[in-house]
Amino acid sequence: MIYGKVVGHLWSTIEEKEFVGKKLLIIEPIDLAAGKLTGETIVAVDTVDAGIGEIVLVVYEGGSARMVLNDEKTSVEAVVVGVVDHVKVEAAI
Amino acid sequence: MILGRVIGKVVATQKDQKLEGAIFRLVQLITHHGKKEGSPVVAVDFVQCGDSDLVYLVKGREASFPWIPEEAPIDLAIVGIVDKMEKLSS
Repeated sequence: MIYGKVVGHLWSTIEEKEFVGKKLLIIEPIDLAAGKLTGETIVAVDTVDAGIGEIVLVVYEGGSARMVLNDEKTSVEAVVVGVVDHVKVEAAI
Repeated sequence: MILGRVIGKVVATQKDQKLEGAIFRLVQLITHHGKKEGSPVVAVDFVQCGDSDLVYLVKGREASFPWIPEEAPIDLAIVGIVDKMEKLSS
């Protein structure tokens, strides 16, 4: 799973049918070792009502995404599946 | 999904028969900061986008799913055109 920050929203009217009605978020992965944003971009479908600025968990793999969306034919491969409350690091890397 | 900017099109008359009817676009992948990511790539267009459109794309096996029930050799597909983007001010 990818640990990242919600840095934006996307609006789209012309899209593949399985994207219609889905909320799209822009996620910037976080490098946990360095403790900073990586500068990369992932566009993911939101299933947990995450908001801008929140830290989230993203599955970025087709099989898991299809499972979450309960649709065997969807071409979505990135889904936000959790909002992180806090992280506790208990051992050194 | 990933973000990209359409910068042109690619025409290939002779191609795998499963790609018959496919529209190929030349896309520069970018980050939400607007920074280029690598060299331009070729993607199959499922949304009839045009030059300079900001689009989002699906990578990998899922890229061929819009073509179901046909199975096609597609690994990058344009699945939506971005109308508006709201970003966290930082």
